[in-house]
Amino acid sequence: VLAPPGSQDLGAVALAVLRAGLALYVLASFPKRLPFARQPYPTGLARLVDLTFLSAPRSTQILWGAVAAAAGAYALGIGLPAATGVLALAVAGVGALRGSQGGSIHGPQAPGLVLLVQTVAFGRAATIPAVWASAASPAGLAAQRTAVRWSQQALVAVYVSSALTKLLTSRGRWPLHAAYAPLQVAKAAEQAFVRTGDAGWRDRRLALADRLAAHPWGTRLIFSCGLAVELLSPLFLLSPTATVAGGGLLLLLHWAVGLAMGLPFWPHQAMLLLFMANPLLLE
Amino acid sequence: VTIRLRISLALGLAGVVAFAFRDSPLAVLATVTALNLMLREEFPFSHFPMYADFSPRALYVRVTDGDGKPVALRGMGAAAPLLTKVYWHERRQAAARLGLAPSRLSEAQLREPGTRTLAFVAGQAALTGALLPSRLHLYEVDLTLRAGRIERREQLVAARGPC
Repeated sequence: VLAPPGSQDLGAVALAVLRAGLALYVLASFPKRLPFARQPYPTGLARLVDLTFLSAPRSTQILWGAVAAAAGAYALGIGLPAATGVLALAVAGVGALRGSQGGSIHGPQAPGLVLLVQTVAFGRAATIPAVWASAASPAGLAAQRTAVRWSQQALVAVYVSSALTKLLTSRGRWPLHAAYAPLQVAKAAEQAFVRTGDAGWRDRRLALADRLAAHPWGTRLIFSCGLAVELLSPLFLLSPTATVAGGGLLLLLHWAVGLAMGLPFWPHQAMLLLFMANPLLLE
Repeated sequence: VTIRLRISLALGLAGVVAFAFRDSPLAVLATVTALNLMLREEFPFSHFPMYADFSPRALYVRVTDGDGKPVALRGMGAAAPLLTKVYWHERRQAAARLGLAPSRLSEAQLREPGTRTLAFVAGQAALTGALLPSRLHLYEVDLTLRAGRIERREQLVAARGPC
C-alpha cells in the first residue's frame, strides 16, 4: 500500500544492510564536540531554537546517547518512525548550529535530507503497529522500500538543485564562465595547505590549475560534462540499473571535484554508496 | 519579517509543487528541489551555491602569525573556507552599512570586517582551548586570470595582538 508503483522490490536483507549503513554513517560522522557558543547568523532549526545549549559538554553527551540509541534501534529495525525522527532532528540541529556561524556548510545536507524524507516516509506509516514492531513485517518492508526510494529522490534533488542554481546564477553562462574555474582550483589548493601543511599536494594542485588556465576550452568542456551529469540525474531513477550506474557516475563526479578542489564531499559519497551506487539495489 | 515571509512563501510554494506532483513517482524529487531552490540556505536545505558561477577573480583570506607564518585553524571550528565565508559576510555587512558595494571598500574600510574576522578566530580558539600566536595577521589574497596565467596579489587587512 505504501510503496509507490514501480518501487524497487528490495528484500529484508538488503534493507537491513541499508539501515545498518545509514546508522553507522550517522554514528561515525556525528561530532564529538560542538565548539559554538554563539549562533550569530541562525539558519534552519536555529531560527526557531537557540541551539548553542548543544555546545555544553553535558548536552553533547546526552545528544550522543540519544543518537546512539536511535541509531541502534534504526539498525535493528525497531521503532523506525521514532528512531528516524530522532536521527533527523539531531543531524538537523547540529548542522544548523554549525551553519549558523556566518558561513554555510555544504557537507551534511545530503544525509540530513535523506533522514528528513525517511522521517516523513516512516511518519506516514506510523499508525500501523507492525511498522513499529518489526522491520521484517510486510508493512515494515513496504515503508522501508518507500523510504529508500524517497532517499534516492532526495539525493538526486541535491544534484538537480546544484545544476539549476548554476544555470540561474550565471544566467545560463556557466559552461562559458568555467574557463575561470582554475582560479578556484588554486584557491582551494592554498586553503587546503593552511589546513594540512602538505606542500606537495598544494604544488600538484597549483600545477593542475596552471594547466587548466592555459587551456580554457578544454576546461569548459570538462566542467560542462559535470554540469550535464547533475542536470540529467533524474534519469538515474528510471530503473535500478540506471540508479546504480548513475550513482557510480555521481561518485566519479565527486572524485573529480575532490581532485581539483580538494572537496570530496564525503557525506554525499557515503549516501550515494548506500542508496544509489549499491549493487544490493539490483537484487 | 523578510526572512519569515520568504520561508513561509517557500513552504507554501513547495506545498503547491508537492500537491501538483502528488501522483507522480518523482513527487519527492520535485518537492525537495523546490524547497532547496526557494529556502536556499536553511539546513538541511540548500541551493548549493558553491561554484554556481565563476568570476575572473577569486578572493580568500588567510591567517598568519606576526612573522607571516600560516596559522592552522583546524579543530577550532574555523577552517579556511569557513573563515573566508565569515570574512565575506562581515565585508558585506560593512558595505551595507556604508551604502557601498562589497568590492568597493577601501583599505581602511576593510579593517573592520578584518578585525571582526580575527575576533571570530580568537573566540573559537578560546572556546576550544587552542593556542594561538600572540600576534595575528589577516591577509586577503586576490587571484586573477590574465592571458592564460594565474596572477596572485596579497594585502594585509587587519592585525590583532601586541605589535
